[in-house]
Amino acid sequence: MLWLYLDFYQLTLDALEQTSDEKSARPCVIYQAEVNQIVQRNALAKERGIEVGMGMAQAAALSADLNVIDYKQERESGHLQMLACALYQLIGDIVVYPPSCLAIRLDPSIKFYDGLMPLWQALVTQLRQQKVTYHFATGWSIESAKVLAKAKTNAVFSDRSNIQKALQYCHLKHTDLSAKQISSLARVGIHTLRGLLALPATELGKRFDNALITYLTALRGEVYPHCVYFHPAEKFSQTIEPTYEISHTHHLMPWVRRLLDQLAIFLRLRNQITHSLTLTLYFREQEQEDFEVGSACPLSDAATWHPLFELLIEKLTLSEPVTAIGLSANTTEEMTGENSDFFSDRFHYFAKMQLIGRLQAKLGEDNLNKPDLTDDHRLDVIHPPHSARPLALPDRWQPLFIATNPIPLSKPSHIQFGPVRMQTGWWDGHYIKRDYFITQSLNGELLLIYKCSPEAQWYIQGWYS
Amino acid sequence: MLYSELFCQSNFSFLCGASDPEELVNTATFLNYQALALTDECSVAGVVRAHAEIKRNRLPLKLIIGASFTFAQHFSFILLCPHKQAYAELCRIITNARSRSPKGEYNLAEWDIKSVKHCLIVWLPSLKKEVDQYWANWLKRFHSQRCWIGIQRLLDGQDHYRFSQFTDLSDDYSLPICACTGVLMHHSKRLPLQHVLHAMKQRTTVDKVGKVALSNAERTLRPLSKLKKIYPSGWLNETKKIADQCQFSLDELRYQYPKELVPVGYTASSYLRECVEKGIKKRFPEGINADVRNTIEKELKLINEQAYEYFFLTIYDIVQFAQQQGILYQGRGSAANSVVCYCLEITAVDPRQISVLFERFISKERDEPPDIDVDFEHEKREQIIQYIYHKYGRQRTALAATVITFRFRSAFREVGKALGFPESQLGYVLKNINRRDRTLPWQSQLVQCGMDPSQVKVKQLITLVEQVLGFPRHLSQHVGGFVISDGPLHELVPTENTAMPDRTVIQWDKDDLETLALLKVDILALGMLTAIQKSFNLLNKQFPQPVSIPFITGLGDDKQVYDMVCKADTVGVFQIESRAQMTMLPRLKPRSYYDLVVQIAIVRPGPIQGEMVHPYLRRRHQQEPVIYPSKEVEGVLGRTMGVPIFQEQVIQLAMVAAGFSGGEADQLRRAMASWKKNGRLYEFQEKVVSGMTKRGYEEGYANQIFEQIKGFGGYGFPEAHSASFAVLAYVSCWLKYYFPAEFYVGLLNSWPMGFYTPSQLVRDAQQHHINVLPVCINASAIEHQVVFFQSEKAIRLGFTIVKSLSDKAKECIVKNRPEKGYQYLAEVQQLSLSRSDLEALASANAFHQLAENRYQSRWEMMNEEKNLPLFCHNPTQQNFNFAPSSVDNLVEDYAATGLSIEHHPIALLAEQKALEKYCWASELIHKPNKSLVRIIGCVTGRQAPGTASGVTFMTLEDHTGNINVVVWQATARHQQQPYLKANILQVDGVLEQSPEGVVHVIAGKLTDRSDWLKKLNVPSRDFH
Repeated sequence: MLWLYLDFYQLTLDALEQTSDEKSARPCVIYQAEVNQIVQRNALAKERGIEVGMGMAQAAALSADLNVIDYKQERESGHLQMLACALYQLIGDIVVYPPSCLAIRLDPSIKFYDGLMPLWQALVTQLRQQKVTYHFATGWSIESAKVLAKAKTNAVFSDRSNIQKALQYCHLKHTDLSAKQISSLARVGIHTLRGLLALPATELGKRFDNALITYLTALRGEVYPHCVYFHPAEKFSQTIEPTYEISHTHHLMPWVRRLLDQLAIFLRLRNQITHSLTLTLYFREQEQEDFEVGSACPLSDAATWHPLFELLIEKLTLSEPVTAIGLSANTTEEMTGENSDFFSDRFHYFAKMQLIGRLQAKLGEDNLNKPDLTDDHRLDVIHPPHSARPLALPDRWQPLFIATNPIPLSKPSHIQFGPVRMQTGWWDGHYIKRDYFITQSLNGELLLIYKCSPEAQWYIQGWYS
Repeated sequence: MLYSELFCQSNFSFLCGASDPEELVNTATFLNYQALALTDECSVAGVVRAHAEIKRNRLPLKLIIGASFTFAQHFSFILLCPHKQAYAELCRIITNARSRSPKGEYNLAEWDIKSVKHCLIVWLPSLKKEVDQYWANWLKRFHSQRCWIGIQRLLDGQDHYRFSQFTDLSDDYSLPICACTGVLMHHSKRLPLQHVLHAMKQRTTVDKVGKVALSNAERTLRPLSKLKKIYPSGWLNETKKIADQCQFSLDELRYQYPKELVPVGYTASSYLRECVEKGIKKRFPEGINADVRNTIEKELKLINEQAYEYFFLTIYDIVQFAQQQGILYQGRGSAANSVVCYCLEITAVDPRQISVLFERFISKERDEPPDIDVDFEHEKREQIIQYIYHKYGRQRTALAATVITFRFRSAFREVGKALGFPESQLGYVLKNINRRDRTLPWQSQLVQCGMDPSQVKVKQLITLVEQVLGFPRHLSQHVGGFVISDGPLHELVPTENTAMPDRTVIQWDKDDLETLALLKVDILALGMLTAIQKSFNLLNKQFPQPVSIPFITGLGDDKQVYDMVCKADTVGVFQIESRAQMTMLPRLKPRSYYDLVVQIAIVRPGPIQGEMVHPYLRRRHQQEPVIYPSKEVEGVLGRTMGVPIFQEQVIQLAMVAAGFSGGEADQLRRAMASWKKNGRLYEFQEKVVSGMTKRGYEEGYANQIFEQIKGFGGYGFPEAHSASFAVLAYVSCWLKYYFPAEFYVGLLNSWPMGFYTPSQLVRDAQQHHINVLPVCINASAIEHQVVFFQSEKAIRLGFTIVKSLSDKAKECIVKNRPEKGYQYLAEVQQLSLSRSDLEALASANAFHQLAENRYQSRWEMMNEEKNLPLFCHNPTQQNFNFAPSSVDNLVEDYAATGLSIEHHPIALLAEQKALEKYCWASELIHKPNKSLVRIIGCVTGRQAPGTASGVTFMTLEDHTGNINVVVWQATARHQQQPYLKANILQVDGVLEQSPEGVVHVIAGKLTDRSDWLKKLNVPSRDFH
């Protein structure tokens, strides 16, 4: 057997560089807070002396303008899945080791590529297109290839003697041995595989548990590997994480378009269509939000989905910056003649969305109202509820109809109730200090009016039904 | 109209109230309130501050003591104390409610409320009709004579419903109504802060807290004119009736010390006198002269006048117990430095040697409470604490509280989170802000961290952080301040649980206790006492004359000991061991006990920031005349050559030169202690300067004195403490000089303590030509020992130095050791020690007598078969051929024991590399001043003291000694990588040698040489 092991040691950074238009001009590190360690850093950060494994305090001290990005294992695993998908087009025997490594069995495919080097070149070309950096090596088992790759050997060996020779010099820290085992061996002077492999298994067996012996057997390629080969996902689900945070909705669309293009390729390769997609927006602090977009008829091409997403995004208000965008196909169907049904009920959902979108476009967003609950003392501030707690119904004195843009009161009106003092909202630039009163106008209308100071103008905030 | 606010919560209702008690009482007075009830939630933690503020500013405001509670979610009420019995009742209820819950929470029982017999109740109905009717019935049944319905008009849209429902309740159940606000802020401008605190409590952000937050700023102290408009006059007048009933003042609290301390037939005074007389015979076997007798009489008279007998007797009782148990202790503090304390064996400071100190015993004039802290051996303090609990019982004993306040880091992080800043950004900013940079305040440093201070949100962050600084966050326990009372303590002050099991804490901190003239006894732990006691134990095995602190101080000032001190040969001794102290020693050249007292106090931020160090040194060495602007000032500053060094001197100066009264001086002392928190010190500037100029002092001199007072703010070191510390400093120096082996063993056996690691102590011992012998399976005991080696005293390292070796294994090895020692590794393996114990011993090279090398022995120990009797004598197969090199041995030494006796990394480097161009530590003294030098060493310390404006002091260690390196801020900034990262550092710099022989290297180029010996990880004590 001949295995190739690929270690994508800065996958998150590479993914960031890919989505960014230009190379980062700032030193950037990927930081794993749970262990207080820098796990990846770009060339500029390296220049400043920042090293992988360093704590945050030291890294921050070395570079004041450091761009710090939190490490997320799931995100990195997602990127790895995408890489595996890309390589799957070239070779089938891939084993995924999340969050950042792949093992590929080469020997069955060599004959299709007319030799090892052409196969390797094909893989390199694909990896180059993916713009990723990696360490690699080949070995007679996954374990041996992994040790060599982790030791940054970066060589494709084909014969056993070279692999054996290279393995001798590998430090134990590159193996899968536990930290405790490595430390135990170091404390008796064994630091490399050369020393370890020279010891008889019986002597090791008296001192270490079976796991070490099993590992060494696997390293020597003496057992058939137990591994699960990669199969591409059956369902489309991808997430893009831009290098910058998106605060304006119009910046969202290019990213959505990119995801839709990928969706189109995914569906086309499988001869599939979908009629419902979920757009997920990930925020800096608050919980992610899902938006379902349906199509009256199942679709596969990106161009048809675009306008629907444009409609959705147009009416979105971002309460805080978006850090990542995800797109997933909820259900997919084989493309058949029956999918061309334009007259089923599913059309209504799309029609409603389209109608709302069109009304907004025609009348202006402010003129389209719908009942809403909001968790804010301010009556004219509408934003989606954040908290998990159930929203209380409006206070008893609050009217059903509220004008988000208050109207100056022009006719006399008699006070029936009040004052209710509102003094809040200092945190988001919409500070209000108002005294509210319920009044009755001469024609019997019950109004909620307010003014901001004794001398100020009265405004109508709402009407009672 | 007279109005009293009956429902007011300060910031001692944590994360709810947004003003401190002082702000509340001042504003209430300004608004002409008749009275203010401070009613924090299940707490009276803030009342003393309010009481003190009223007294300090003589405010015409009555303070009503009370607390608010919520029972079963919807039953909220306030208890107010009309008289002392009611206050005791309130304390009991709070104590009970707190004792049922973990720290910071409370849990009322219905019985608690039912049992109210004295407190007045203001009920705050919930607007839930059925619930309110139930409780109205209940209150009517149990408390109809002392209950009111409290009605709040908050302009929140609910007033209408509240008014109608509560009026109905009042009519139906004949409960009178009184107006109240439920104050959370003294001023409406605190609303944002209240929102932020509320968001913190809810663990969310202000924009998400929603409708549970306050909708307006009505919960503030409102002007009477407004109250008149919004409440019917009857409800307002009712508050007056309630306030008139409340006549209790905290001044009524009288504290009784446990009476059992005084035997039957004695009064406290006569018993104290008897104890003192007994002490005189012990302390002065040859009798006392008239001067000492006079002083004792004077002191006893003062104690009697101030009624402090029980305080002294309590401490006497505790130290007697310590003596019986052979626990070393030392009293310190102003009251400790008295002949009475010497006779009661509370202190070991012989008055004949330092009579100058005894003038400043308890200051009746300054009206300070007596201050005695007693330090005990740190390993045995728990015995003392248990003795106190056992003797007086948990009901009568509790620890004083420490109010944990928002400091910059916590304030910035929590306010930032509440405002919605990402945690990672806040963490990043906090890591980058240098709070010690006095040239650039933190607010300005935000720009460098990517926060634009012109942005509204950042502005809000800055303002709110500034506001919340110093706000109480929660109560914690004082390190050792005990309050012991005659009756149950909860009648005096509520107690609550601490995070530590079986400890209770009162709700007041030491300042509160001081305000109310309640006394606490400080039971503290001191590592040096343990070390000294261990050294004494070693000496007392060798000599018939017992060596003790009084024995050493009784010998008088020893020239040779002071010669050693002047050379700064003080690694390991008490107090004068730090790098800053060691740099000062050759300059100050202490030659007597009092010089040591000055030395200890002078290397402190107070004197350094007040720029008093250099004038003192110049005057001491006759380079500058000692001039006093007046006789009075000479009286105060005479003993320190006209330069204020001690906190007491500053206070006395304010009295004699600026005309402060005793009470005012005490306020100044407190303002100094807390000025970093509240900046109250500035209130005294005008008084100090004008007071001094009025008395004929020059304005420049007056301003200089105030600057010095400011320098002392928060960092003042009292002479009384320094005096006691100096005794221990001298005793440790004496031990180091005359009995170095015992001294180092005492220190090593008491570790962790002090400034130096065992590695540094061992190296210092070696430099003093003491042989240090390695851990040996056949020679070591559990602890380190003094042994004879080649007919000289040597130190044999004990098994305690071996990392991860269990206590059980240590005992087992020593207990089962054959007379001739272990002969084979297998014998040790048969002891049934765990494998990790055996491996730890092997790596520490404890088997060097039995095996070829440590790798070999560890490999052997890893063999589990050898634990089986059948296999134990099988010879080792010859397939293991690993042997450690010198570097490997060094690495293993550090890994297994944290020190290396045989090897030093730099010595190893010198063996391997051509390092002729480098200058070693021992050679630096012979180099001319200002010469260029290249040095190399392991970085063992990086210190950037706040007083040194950005300078970092690095300590490099080579195999010949330590080198002091000064790194200027610019040098550090330009060479950040080696400055921050190097374990082994090469410095090219300029040597600076002072006339007194203090050598520094001013760093020029820094080069990281860690890769030369990469594997070695010498621990550095960074940035303390």
